[in-house]
Amino acid sequence: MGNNNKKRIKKKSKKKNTIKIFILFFIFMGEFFVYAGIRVECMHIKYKISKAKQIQKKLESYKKTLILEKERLGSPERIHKIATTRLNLSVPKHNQIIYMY
Amino acid sequence: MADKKKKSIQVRIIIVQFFLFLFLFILGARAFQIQILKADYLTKIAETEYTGHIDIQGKRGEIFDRNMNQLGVTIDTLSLAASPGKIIDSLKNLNKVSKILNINQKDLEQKIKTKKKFVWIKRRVSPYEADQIRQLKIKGLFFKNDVIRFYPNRNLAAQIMGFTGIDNTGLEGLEYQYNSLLEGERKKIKITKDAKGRHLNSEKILTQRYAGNSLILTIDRTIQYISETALKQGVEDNKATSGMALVMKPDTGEIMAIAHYPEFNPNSFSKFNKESWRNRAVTDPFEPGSIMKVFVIASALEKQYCTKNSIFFCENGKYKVGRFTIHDTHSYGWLDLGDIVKFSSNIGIVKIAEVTGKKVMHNYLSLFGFGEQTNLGCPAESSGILMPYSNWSDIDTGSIAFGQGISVSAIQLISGISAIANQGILMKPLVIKKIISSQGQVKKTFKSRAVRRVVSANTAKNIKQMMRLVVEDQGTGINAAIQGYSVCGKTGTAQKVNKSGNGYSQKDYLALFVGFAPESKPELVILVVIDEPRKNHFGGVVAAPVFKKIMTESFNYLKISPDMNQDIILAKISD
Repeated sequence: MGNNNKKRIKKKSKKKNTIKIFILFFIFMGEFFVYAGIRVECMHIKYKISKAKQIQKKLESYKKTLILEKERLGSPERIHKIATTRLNLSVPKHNQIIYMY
Repeated sequence: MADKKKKSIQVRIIIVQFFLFLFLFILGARAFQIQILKADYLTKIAETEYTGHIDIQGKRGEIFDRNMNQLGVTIDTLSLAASPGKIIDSLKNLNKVSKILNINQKDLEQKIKTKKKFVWIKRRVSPYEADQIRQLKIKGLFFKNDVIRFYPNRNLAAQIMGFTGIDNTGLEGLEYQYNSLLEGERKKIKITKDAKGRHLNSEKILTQRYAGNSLILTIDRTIQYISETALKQGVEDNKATSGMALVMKPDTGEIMAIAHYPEFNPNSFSKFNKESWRNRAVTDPFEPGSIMKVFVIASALEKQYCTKNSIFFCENGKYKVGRFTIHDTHSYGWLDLGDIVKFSSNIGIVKIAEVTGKKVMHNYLSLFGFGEQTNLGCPAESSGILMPYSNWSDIDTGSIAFGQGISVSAIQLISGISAIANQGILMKPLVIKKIISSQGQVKKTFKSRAVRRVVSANTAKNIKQMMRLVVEDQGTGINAAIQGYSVCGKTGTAQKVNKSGNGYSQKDYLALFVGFAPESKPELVILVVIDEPRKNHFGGVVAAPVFKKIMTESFNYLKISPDMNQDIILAKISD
């Protein structure tokens, strides 16, 4: 009777140990997958940041082009040309200027 | 029997357990070796797989005018490169490449046939060219990000700014002089790569982070344009070879324009004559002719060797100094100082020089800044030639008084006249206002600085009154008169030294005019120099109209109202 009890207790403790090992194993595996997942996600985010930076750079480049275009459009040479050729304007003479005070 | 079997199973279990433990122990030991003992070494090896180092060059800083208009900028572009070993495409396609890029076909073939791993095919291709090349899909050809220096106003102020070469290093002008300030930092940086070797850090962003400083000039884009246009017209109308026009604020010494003709486009500088690249206003000295008379009279007045009412006999047009005879263009009798300036009498000024003496004259010419660099900040500045007075003979003293035997740069000349306009105080000429960092923070401000007082305010005032006469009726500079404004000026007509270096030429002249307005509080000083005009050679005929045009349009632009109340229309602004 006593031997049977001991055997049963031994079996139970073996079962518990096996469960513990399985749990540890799953935790370990789980950790491994989570780690791998985080690494992948990290890479994805880095790609996204890289893409966003490229878009930012493109927009900055475009902005620079627009500023340059504005400079070109507002250059005194161009304004003078339009004023004299298209609008038939000329530099005002002394008596054509009204001075504000 | 059963016990024996059980024992044998137990032995086997123990053996298996032993090997398992041994295996685990080996694994653990190896893990210990990898994780602890070899950690640093292996980390380094791993890093080379997903990180790398690249050299980046920060973007070159920009150049702005005084109103923050862009004069020189760096823009992104693409350059076409090739890995010759990887090109397996047909020659037909390569011919297309040479046609699209407008480059020599044989040169291209030679580049492709080399054993090098990397060759440039064409630096800085246009977006259109890049699209055309991409459509050909040639293996081994690829684009690399590049930058190009671009001058949006093309010829405007080209000689001041200069330009950069293919590697973005300044070669001329301020680009050269301030190269170390403008160029970005060169850095070796660590970058992250993905499995395909693509860079995850944006290099372009980083080039912005290490960008160079920017320059804010004292130049005003509009006044520069006005000066260039008027100068061009003046040179062409008089069939001259070249010209210069400078505009300066006398109270601060700020240079608002330095115009040159012929011009060049710094975006394609190699297509222009090298002679046109130089900022001649700073580098090239010349004999200033009669403009020098103003400084000689200033020294005589300051030393009280004569007063503004003193009169000198001008020998009816001929005066002998040693074995040399000095001539006037018209014969004059007795003239006071004002008339000597007004009619630009050589004999009158020689007599004043005789009264003043060479030592005093030399001293004052030095005080006005002749014979020394102004340190404007432009490269290769000339200090001009002012010989020691101990070397002057009597004729030298006389000829220096009317601007022969002395060489000055345009920047020295305008600074000297500005001193008279600025109540006798010589200001240091400025072409750079500020240096700002790539983040827009001011790193250095160049404040206007008085170099010294040259003559008293009273002497300066008397000289101004004399220069005012030049631009009035019968004065040599009447063509510079502007209705409504009190303009002060002085003409200069300098014979050029013969190309052989022996004596003066009878046909090659420099025509000059320098002046300022309004008389009471001069806002701008303008110097115009026209080289070898062919239609007429007098400064009052050739250079004065250019001065007038620049001054009139600049005053309109700067909203400087007339100081002489002659028929001007006034309107009151009501609240």
